[in-house]
Amino acid sequence: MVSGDLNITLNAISAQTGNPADLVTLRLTVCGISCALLTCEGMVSAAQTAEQILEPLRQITGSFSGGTALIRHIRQNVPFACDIQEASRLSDVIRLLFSGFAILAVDGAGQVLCFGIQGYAVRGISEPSGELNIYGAKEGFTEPVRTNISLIRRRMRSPLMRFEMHRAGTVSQTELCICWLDDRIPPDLLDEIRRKLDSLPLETVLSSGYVRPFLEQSDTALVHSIGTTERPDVFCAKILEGRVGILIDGTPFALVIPQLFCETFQTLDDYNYPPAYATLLRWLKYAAALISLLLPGAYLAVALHHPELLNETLLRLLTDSEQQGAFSIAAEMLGILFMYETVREAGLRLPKAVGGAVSLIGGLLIGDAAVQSGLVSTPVLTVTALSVTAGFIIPAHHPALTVLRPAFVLIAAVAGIPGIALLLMLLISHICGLEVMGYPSAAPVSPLIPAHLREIFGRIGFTRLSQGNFRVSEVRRKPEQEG
Amino acid sequence: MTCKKLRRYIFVILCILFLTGCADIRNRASPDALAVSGNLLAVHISGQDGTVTAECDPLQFPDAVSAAAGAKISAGHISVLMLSEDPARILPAYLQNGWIAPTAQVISAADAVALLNSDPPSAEDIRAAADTGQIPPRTADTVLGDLLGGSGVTALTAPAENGFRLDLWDDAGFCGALPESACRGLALLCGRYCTFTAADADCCFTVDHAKPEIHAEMYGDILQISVSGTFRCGMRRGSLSDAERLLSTMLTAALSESVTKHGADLLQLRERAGAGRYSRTAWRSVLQSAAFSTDITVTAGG
Amino acid sequence: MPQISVTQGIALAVLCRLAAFLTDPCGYTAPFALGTFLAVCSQLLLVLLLCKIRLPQFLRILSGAAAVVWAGVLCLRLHRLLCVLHAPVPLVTLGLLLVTVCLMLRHPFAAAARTAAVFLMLSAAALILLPVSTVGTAEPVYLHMHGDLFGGFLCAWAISGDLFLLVPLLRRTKTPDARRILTGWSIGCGLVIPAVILLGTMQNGRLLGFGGAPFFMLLARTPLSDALRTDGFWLLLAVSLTALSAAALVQNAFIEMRDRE
Repeated sequence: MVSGDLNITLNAISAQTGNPADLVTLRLTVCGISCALLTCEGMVSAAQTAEQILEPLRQITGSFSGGTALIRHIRQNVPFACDIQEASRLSDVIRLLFSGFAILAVDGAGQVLCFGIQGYAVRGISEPSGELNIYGAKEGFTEPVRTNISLIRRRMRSPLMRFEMHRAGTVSQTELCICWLDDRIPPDLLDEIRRKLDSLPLETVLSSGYVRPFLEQSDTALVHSIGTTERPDVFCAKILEGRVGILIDGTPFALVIPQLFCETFQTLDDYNYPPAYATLLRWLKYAAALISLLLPGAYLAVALHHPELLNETLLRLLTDSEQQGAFSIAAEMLGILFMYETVREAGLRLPKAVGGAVSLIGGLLIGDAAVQSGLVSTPVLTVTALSVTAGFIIPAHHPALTVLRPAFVLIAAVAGIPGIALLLMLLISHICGLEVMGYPSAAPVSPLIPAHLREIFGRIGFTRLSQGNFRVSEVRRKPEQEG
Repeated sequence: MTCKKLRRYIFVILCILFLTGCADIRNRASPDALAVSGNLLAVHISGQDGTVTAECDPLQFPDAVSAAAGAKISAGHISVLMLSEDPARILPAYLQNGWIAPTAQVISAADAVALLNSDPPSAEDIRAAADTGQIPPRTADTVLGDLLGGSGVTALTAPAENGFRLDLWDDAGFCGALPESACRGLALLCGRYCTFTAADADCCFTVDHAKPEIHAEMYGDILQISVSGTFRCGMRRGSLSDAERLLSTMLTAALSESVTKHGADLLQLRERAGAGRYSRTAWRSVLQSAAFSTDITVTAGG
Repeated sequence: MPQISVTQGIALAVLCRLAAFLTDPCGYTAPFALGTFLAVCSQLLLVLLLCKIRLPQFLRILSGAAAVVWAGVLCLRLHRLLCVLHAPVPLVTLGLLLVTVCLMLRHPFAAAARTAAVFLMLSAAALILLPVSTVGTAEPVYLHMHGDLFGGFLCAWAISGDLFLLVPLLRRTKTPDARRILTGWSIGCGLVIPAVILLGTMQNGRLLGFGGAPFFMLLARTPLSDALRTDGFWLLLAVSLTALSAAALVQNAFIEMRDRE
């Protein structure tokens, strides 16, 4: 607890924090009472400290019986333009100090005043790195959770919009904000989310990926049933459908609960295009997902085990092209997939200045030299390139596709089309079995909810769309029945 | 290393072993034509010149030919099968084992291997002949179906001087060859192949559209076949009655040569007459004593 | 006790029958189709009876055991089909099938039910396309071909292992939904499958007791185009449906055996 003696309080804080180099203690006297202003260097703005705290304190006049009276006077009579909290526990004081608050400790008072004048350097609001849209807003979430709250508040001015702060991480004490629209969420869902967030067994929460596994049904699932988004407009659209969002301080990626599998093929731009075009794009994405997943395996199955499925012309074309290959087709396919992943990862991790060289080397080596030298055949390269390019259309499934593609290649090499069928069945069963807090991931396809299929097989016009807004609670499994 | 991890690695290694050992597209040969003459087999590999020959029992086809060709045979693309012998012995096994597709063309030749080595007809040639009304379409499934489910007599396409004709085969062997007019009549009766040119000394015309109807009824053990229908002809020389005469001759020849002379059921007569109760041999006898009539209408076309 | 929706119930029962049908070696004739239809009518009466009466525990355990046996039979039938179609390494595929079924058993029953609904839609779309691709090659005259009605009746009973799944599902489902599931099953097994048999009759013609895979014989004569064959898709579907049906049968059997009324 905060001691009434200023020196003891300061020593206790210094001892608990290990007298860090960035702890700045400014001793001052207000109306004859000793005070100390503690800040973390770099976490507060010096100009704001002077303007918003020191200047009003300097203007206090009168005499006070003790520190408690002074604090009471400051709280009641002195206008400050920032958030003020009182804290009496040392742990709260230290937490607030390291959250960018300025702490005013007063001699003779058993509590301190905490001024919210955070002035740490933050990245400005910019266009999201992924989830690019042509017609959508160019704003994306940033790292501070408070800034993200304001981005949402600007778009959702309803009094029913709720923000509830939680803390996670025994060491980091990271702020999490649960967001929802009060008239659309079942109370038990919120209770379950709160319970899970409050019981996170983590020391630190550095990104949304730390939290997500604890909210999902299984942390080994290939496909996520909790989505992420970097876009406030997408976040608001999801909240409107009755989902719960979680903002995490320190990361621009917000979580959205639940995410239905079919929604990963939708983008906000779909609602800016004419319905016919948006429908075409949607089917293009479905086809791309299948191509990305199955094309290498299917090619291998046909080339190794089922050549009779090809017509004669195509068979001759492939045979002639494959003649020059030095390795087995399966080895070629796996090698190319591995090379692609290597080049992609290198391009991600290298500094931008060198990144261009990776593209050059990748293109020259793989695209040209390898084919010309006969290490790799053109059909295998074409099939793999088509497959990975198709996978780019649905970035949400990129990790799953990357893992599953070689699995399909292996099983196709061993067992042909029957092998592909078995793995595909297992995958579909896995997706259909995923649930998060009672929301089946495969809904509304399975369990089938015909009224909501209109957004799966196409994009209907806004006139009809506005007549029956989708609420995700309608797909939630009731306890006594499947759905 | 725990047992579970070890099992995982073994599985991965097995998978890799599987990968390295597979006969893939490069080590396979896809023949597009196969000839069987007794114990001599010959295949033409698509994309290659010449043929590959092997001496073996025809029922050992892929293994023997693979050894001769030096590559695993992938038989799914055989579009022409040439036989010098009883199709009843070869076709069931070949179709059952998937060595030929049901839609493959089957050709009868005195020496199939010699035909393959010299001037083999292609599947396109045979299809063109069927499209121009020279012969009815005969694929492996219809040939075998007539053998097993008809009267035990089937017709195979055979090369002739001016194109193709039909050879009849039964369980015992070669029965006879159908003359050209009978072949054309059968092509007409199949009903799909409309546009062809017929000519004799008196007339020349093109059949633009043919819709023949075949009725078969059993009167006791006597089969009565009647053929009717409308034929639209574009006359180049001669009159409509000449065309009608010529067409009737073709249809009559088709029925007399195939049905009554050899007892071949190439026109699904057994199904039309509802004569499933007869055995194949009995049905063949019924066919050979069948009566038929033709009553067609010929109209002028464009 | 897991409840499932109407669509899922229909899907589970019909796809189990479809899996057995795709692997059935019996040749197609019109009397065979009629025999199948009559068999489904008799099965419908039996199902109605079994849903009304109270079954003793030992019968339900026996039914569960029979469901597990039928799951094994489906796997063996698939193995036979793969041998007939000269698929690569049928034994390895059988092993992979068993592994897949075991992995699917780890998912809840709801997963199998939902997966069945997805595959029902796929199968329905494929079955709609099937007659389209046979337009030029079907011969209606073969519908008059002589066939064995009683043989069709018996063959339909021989592939009716889906009843071990259907009856327990119906007994666990509320009455209005149960009626709809039964109606859907009747249409699927009593109308759609005989219709496919009739289509196969017109396509396969006189090649009756031949080939061991009459459905795939039907496909062999009906490519969608020169470049696109559908055999691969239907083989994929046959394998997937067998795995799904086997998993659903075993899971349902365990549920039945655990259940105490």
